[in-house]
Amino acid sequence: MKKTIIPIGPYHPLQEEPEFFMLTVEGETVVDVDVQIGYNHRGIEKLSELKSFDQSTFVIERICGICSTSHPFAYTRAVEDIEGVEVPMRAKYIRTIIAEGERIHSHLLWLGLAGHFLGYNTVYMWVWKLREEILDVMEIISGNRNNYAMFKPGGVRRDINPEDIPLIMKKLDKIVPTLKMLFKAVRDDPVIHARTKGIGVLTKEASINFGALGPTSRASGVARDVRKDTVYGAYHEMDWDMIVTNNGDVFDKVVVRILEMFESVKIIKYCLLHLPDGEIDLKIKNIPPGEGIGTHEAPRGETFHYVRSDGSNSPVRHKVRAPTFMNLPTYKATIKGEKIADASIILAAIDPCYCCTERMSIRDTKGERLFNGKELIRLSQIKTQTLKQKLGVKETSLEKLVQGKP
Amino acid sequence: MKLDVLILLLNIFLPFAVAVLLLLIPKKVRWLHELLTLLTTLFCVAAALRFLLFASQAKFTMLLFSIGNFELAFDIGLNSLNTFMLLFATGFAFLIAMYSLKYMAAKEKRKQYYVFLLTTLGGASGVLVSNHLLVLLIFWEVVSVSLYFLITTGGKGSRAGATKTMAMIGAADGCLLLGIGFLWYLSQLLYLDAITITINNWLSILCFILMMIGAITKAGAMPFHSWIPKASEKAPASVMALLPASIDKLIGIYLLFILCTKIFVLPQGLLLTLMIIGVITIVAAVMMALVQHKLPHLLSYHAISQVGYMVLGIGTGVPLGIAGGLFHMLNHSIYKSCLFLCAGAVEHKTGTVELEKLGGLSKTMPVTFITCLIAALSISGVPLFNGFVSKWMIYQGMLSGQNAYLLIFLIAAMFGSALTLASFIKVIYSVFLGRTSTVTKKVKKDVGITMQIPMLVLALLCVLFGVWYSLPLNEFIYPATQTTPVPIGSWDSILAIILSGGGLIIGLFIYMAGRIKKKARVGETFIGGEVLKAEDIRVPGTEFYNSIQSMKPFKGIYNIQNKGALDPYNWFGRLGLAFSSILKKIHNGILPFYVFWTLLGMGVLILLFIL
Amino acid sequence: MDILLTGVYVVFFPGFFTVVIIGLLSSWVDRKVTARVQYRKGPPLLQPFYDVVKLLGKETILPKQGSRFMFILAPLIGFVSISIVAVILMLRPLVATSFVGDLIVVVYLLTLPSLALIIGGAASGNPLAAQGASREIKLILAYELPFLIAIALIVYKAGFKIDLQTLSATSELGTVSGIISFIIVLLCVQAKLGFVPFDIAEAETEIMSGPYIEYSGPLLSVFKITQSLMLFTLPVFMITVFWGGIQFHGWELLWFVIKYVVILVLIIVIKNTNPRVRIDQALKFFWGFCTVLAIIAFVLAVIGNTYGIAWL
Repeated sequence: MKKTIIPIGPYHPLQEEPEFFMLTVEGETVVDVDVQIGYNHRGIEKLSELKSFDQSTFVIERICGICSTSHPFAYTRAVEDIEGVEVPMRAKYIRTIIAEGERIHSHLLWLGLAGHFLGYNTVYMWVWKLREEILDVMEIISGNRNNYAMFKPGGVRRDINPEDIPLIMKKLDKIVPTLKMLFKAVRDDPVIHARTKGIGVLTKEASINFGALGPTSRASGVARDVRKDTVYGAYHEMDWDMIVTNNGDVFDKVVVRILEMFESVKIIKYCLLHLPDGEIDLKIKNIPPGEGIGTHEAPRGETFHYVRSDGSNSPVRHKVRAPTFMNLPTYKATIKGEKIADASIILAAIDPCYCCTERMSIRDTKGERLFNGKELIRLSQIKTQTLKQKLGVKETSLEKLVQGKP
Repeated sequence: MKLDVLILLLNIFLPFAVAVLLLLIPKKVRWLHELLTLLTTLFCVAAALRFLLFASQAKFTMLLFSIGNFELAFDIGLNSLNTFMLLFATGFAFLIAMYSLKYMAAKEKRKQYYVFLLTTLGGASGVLVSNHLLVLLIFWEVVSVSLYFLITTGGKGSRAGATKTMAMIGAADGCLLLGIGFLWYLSQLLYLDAITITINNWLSILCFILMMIGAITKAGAMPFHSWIPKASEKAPASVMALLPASIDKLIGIYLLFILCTKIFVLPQGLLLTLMIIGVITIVAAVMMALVQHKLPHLLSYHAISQVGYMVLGIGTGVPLGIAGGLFHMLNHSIYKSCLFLCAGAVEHKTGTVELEKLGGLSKTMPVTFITCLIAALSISGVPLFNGFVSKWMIYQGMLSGQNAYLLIFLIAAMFGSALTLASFIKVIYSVFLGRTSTVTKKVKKDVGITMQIPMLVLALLCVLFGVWYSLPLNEFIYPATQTTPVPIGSWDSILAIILSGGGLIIGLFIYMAGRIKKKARVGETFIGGEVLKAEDIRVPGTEFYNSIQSMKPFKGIYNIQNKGALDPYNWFGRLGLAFSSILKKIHNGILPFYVFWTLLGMGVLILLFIL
Repeated sequence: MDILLTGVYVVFFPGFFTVVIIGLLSSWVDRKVTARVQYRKGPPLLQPFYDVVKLLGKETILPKQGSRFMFILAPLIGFVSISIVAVILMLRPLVATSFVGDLIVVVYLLTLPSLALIIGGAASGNPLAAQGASREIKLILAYELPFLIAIALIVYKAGFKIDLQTLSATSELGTVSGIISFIIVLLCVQAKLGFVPFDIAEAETEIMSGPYIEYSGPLLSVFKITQSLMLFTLPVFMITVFWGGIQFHGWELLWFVIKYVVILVLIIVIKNTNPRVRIDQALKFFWGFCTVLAIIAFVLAVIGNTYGIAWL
């Protein structure tokens, strides 16, 4: 049978960002998938090196509009890791509130989009109307609906006004019943079942092999969540559940995200009611040389930032790894063998955020791609060796970590 | 009158004479073959036209011999039925001869082809005008044998198809002979215009069924249809256009028609059987056609499916339905041969008939494309083409029966029409629309004029008979059935075409309104912004119906069908093998054994003789 | 004089122009109601007209691959065929005998707009359009079967008559089998219109609008007019065959408007409460559930007729 290539993207109503998928299909069945990214690259890691540690936070926030808090959260944790300091409790609580608020708004956004991709525009509009409530909450707290500008290395920038807390609680209370109704609607609708159950199954094994993160892997039965596995923020101060289901299909991913929203509301309410007094900022003066790692459970999975400083005001190297980078390759396991009609919902099921994921691609003047992935890795390794010889650097702690040495 | 008779005799025997002559002329002198064939067919067309225009009733009888009651006479005669059929049979032969000039020019067995084209013509003319059943049978056999030789002109590999054809048609002709034998026993007469038999005992039923098997195998209805796809594998497309598409249908349905209306008076039960055969043929054949990947196979299965409509129409037993069935026979021959000729043109230019490899030929072969599109719309029954009119009449015939179960047949027939449409969308898309493939990129221009003219004439007839359908009905069909049925519905095609014209003008006006200042721009197709290789993004049409093929109930049926388990030819083959293996065991090669059986047999015979 | 009068009927009222205007107004009703259900504001009354006129002023881009002739012809074929059906249905009350064609003609003509979409998509030279075309033809095969059974049921109940005058005289909705076949035809109409849950062929998010992807400017406006014509004609067809037909005088006119609005509301409600299905699920739905239901209705009708039970 003839293999045709169906292109999805770079411009496609299915996507919020440009990326290029090539589905190799035989008839209506997808037999292979390949992805090319690089349309969104803005050089943020380089920009970060040009700014001071404090200024970088604003740039880092704008890596993504939807998961805009998870990057500063991870970055500030990385910087604080270089110094080895702990931020004050009040700051931790405020950070948690912002992070969980963002989780709710991100999951609601994804839910609406999933409805849109399934052709269910009513759900799309209703969910986004619900999202307005949480965006109002974020605006009350930070003054912004999306890029909150609340984080800085050492704490948070602004405090929460105690007079606002009753209003915020009222808005949160409004969200919960609508969420319950939505959950029931999704759980019981037969057409949604038909479109999402058993589709795009990611087995537990495949999830571990590919290193999937976030709700994508939790839907496959892998019980991993940075909020539970690492002590940071205010997550260990209260009781909340990590949502894990076992089937790994698109329906499970929907369920996991909706249930996580309930947990997030619980966390925010607890934090608001038990907000400790104290400072919100450590007022760090300078960062010693060294390197630090910071992680955070973004709505899509674990965000990982690595910062290396040499004692000056700017980072020497800042590496961003977004969770979608790990979730993308799972397409090889989920999309093969499915029909084209299901491809769109499977592509959307990992909640991809490509602007976080960006890596570069090298093209010639005609637009033809020059190096593929393997070649780029090889080039990068050559560069690292050259740099190491030039700087006379021995093995770093990260390399030791990667090679499994203590 | 005398002149008419002479021309009639020439109509039948001249092709045979020229065929013998062609056998003597060496292959090298190609132009002489072609010229003689063309002239002969042209003469026959002119003769038939003359008969039609003058409403000739020429008759000729020559008694050959008689034993007791049994007479064998060469009795032929023209009447309103066979006059117009003769015109179309000779017409098809002429058009296909013209088409073959270019198409067969490069093929090896050209001489054989022209010789047997002529014998087919002579045989078919003989069948149509015979008044004596045995004479009809003899000419019928001539056509069958010519079909065998014509299929083998396809070169190596065609022998299998030809053998299967000969086996099935031969068996059916055997049934026909047996049926004629029973007919003689029942009525002591073999003249068509004199026999009338009421079916009231098992012998007459058997007689009818045997003769019906002969007729519908030739036409190609289920379950005796499997020779057509096998033959189409290797036979040249013009052969397929000539025989299974047109002439076989014409004489097959002609025989069925006179069986049902002239010779026998059928009870309701047998009519119902005919209708059931018709409906099953329609739906089953078109479901097979949906999943074919080779163009000749696909067209063959559609030919089988359309025969279902004809059998269904004749089986309704009401004048409207029978007229519809007869008209459908005519329309089908026109559009089916056009489709096979188009397929031949595509094969001639690209060298392949695999749907997966074709595409985008609409730009380089516009005439073939337009004629194929018209024929495809006709076979699907789109209003304003001829297929719709005959189907519409058949549906009304079923409705006049006023029985609920007839509605089931109606639904099946209309659904079959929708499936036909689906199948031809796949064909038109795969061959003509869509993007050009590596194979079709090499085609630079359309086929030559001698190949285009037959396709154009046939397509024009499709449109003509569709819009001005009262013409063929009043001139050909109603005189043949000797009834003028009143339709229960209405289809004012003239008004429809005026309205369509008006609508098109308004539509074009809207289109032009937007284009007053600017000319249309030609741009690359948009598939998301990236550039991909052309061959990679070409979607062939063969996968269109995979969803249907992989649906639960159909998957199993298609699997069984592909293994050949539903083919009576295979059943009889296995039966024959089983039988002959028993005989093989008996033949153990030991001489005393044979001597013993011979002596025993002789002893029995002597005993019988004595007693 | 008669011809002139018929001509006026055909072109102006209640023929072509009336149908176009009402069709565009109906599509406004659809958009406004959908918007309100989704807590949005919705477009102003004349928005569909603005859309059509705007499209007329845009540039026409013809695809480099594919067949340009068929690309331009396809929307016109769809437009012409649905206009003829609309004229047949609307002129029926005004003309004594059958106008142009009977039920079988109308059923065949109604497949032509979908066919035009398929040919337009096939002629675009775009793989996504080809995907959309293949989905549309499979959808046609799917809903054609229960549709034909429901129509055959009506013919049976009308005494095997197929001309529209006789069929429109009686209302079938008083019987169980009539109601069942009405529901089935409603679902088939939903698929014919290309509305959710059966807008598989034009899935915006899956195959970028399928067959429509290469169309722009005046050709796209012809398609949009065809769509709004279908939104008007198909409910009128349902009323003519199932619900007692249409008349143009006095209270009958108001009753016709009410019937039309009811069917329109049903279509919009189904559209807004369901996501899109896959093509194989649609095939299973129509060939499984709908066909079985239609056969049950048919059996009920036969029983009712044979034993004289009127309400079956």
